[in-house]
Amino acid sequence: MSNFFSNLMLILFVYFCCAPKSYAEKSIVGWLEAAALKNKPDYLVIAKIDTGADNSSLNAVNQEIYERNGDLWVKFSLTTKSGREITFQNRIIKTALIKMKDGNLQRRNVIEINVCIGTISKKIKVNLVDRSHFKYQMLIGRSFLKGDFLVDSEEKFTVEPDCR
Amino acid sequence: MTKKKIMVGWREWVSLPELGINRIKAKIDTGAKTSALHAFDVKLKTEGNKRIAVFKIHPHQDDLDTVINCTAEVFDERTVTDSGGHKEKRLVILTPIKICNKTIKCEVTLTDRDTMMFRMLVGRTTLNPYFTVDPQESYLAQPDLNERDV
Repeated sequence: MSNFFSNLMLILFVYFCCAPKSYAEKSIVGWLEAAALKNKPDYLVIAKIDTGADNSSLNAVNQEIYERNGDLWVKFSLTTKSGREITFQNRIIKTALIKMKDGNLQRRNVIEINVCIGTISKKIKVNLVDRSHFKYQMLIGRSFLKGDFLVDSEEKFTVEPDCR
Repeated sequence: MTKKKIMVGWREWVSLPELGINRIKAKIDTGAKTSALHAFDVKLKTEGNKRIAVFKIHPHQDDLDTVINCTAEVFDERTVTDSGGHKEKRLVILTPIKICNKTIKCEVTLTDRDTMMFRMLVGRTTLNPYFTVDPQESYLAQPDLNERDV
């Protein structure tokens, strides 16, 4: 009897704490949204919300790689939505081989960073790439979106980042 | 945003009835503006004052033996930029697509990029204004199309 009871409690616990969010609980975002890097309200970039991409990537021109305490670090800067130049110094956690549409492989440095869209913040792996020939500074892929967001591509800029 | 939209996953089985494609796996891609179809042996011919595209497609991802011959009127010709930033001139056709029991006429560009993992990409102009994408899900639509019959 107590076994039955503890099993029931476990099932209820798993259900309430770990059940996947229903559609009603997920936030709807458009295909373009403002994202706050490091959750800072003044570190805003325009991000393309891309259900066709596995991972997220960030514009980084002039990457400077250096060594610190035996790890490889990267220093890069980007221009925020308001035109301010901000500099990042992050540890490179790995390099990723990205398959391009033309079949070529491209090696990219991957860092870990907090990204906030709407009221949801996640620490995600972001690969760094020169996106200067693209319109948007950031691309948000499914690994960020999964479980918390639905994408309505008819909309854009539906939420303001607020993760303080 | 109050409109009730049809929920689709990031991968779906769709059909293109006028091209004779009953079932093709498509990537639902909010990062792409227009939909694209991987076609090969694309030829152009003229019938009266119409331009007709004649092309072939392999509807299944790892099967190069199955070939479907398609014909469609050319609707436009457009320069598109792919995710790698490359520009390419592509033919555009206008054809009905069935996603989740909803049939809509959509613009599809023809590309011969052999490296596309998916033979079909469904972009924003096809998704609007009927669909919302759940990036966590796959194959929410058309259970009849999920069965293995071609």
